[in-house]
Amino acid sequence: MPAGEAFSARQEQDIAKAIATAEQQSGLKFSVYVGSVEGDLHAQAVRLHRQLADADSAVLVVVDPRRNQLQIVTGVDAKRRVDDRAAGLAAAAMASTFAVGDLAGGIVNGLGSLMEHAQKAPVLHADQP
Amino acid sequence: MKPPTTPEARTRRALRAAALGSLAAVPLLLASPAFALHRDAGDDPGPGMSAVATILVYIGIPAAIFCVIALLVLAPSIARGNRYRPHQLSWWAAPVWFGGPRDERGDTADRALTGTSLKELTAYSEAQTEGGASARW
Repeated sequence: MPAGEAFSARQEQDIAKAIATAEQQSGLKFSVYVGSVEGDLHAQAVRLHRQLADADSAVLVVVDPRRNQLQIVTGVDAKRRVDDRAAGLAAAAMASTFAVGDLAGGIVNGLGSLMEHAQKAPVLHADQP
Repeated sequence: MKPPTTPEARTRRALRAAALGSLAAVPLLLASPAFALHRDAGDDPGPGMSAVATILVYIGIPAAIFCVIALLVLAPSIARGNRYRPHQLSWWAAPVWFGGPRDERGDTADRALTGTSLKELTAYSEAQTEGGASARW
């Protein structure tokens, strides 16, 4: 693999800050993997997700810039806060930013979108006065 | 194009042709001394330029200006280094894992894709049902 940094120091800071903010606001754990992944992206993303310290409440975003594909994996607990529909929206938002060549911006946007969905507390007894 | 039928149309057409013709003719008329075959009294054309000087002035200087402008345009991206372009189907950078298992900066990424076998993994994911979504661009 040819050498080179995927992100500038500034972009790395932005992503790290977005992760920190998202974790702070939602209480979930966020992780972003950027690199080429061999084989089935979903399976590999789940494998990476399993390696995370607190996998059940973790949300992992795997971005493969070579194949133009991304995968979001939500842990068992995280799934209750970020359902598949919310993850799909975030994935679409990221993909549309990646498509214009902005990797770091897309990741920051996607994390923001995931965070917003995770923030929403489930409404209980909504049908009662 | 249809030929002009009414007299008004014909006049308009003639005026338009005259205006366009004068646009081309006026600079040529003003530059008439350049076409002079006989020297006027008192003019001093000076010695002609040598071939080297001509090339320097009319090719060298424009080329230099071109290079400077090209450099100014390209310098920021050269300084920034390689960058991601969609639909290039190549990726040059080492994997980065933000918020990975151990490191905040992704130094553990290289050993990321070794470990659990795929069979264990599918068994695990079926039992635990992680959620998620995917997208392509």
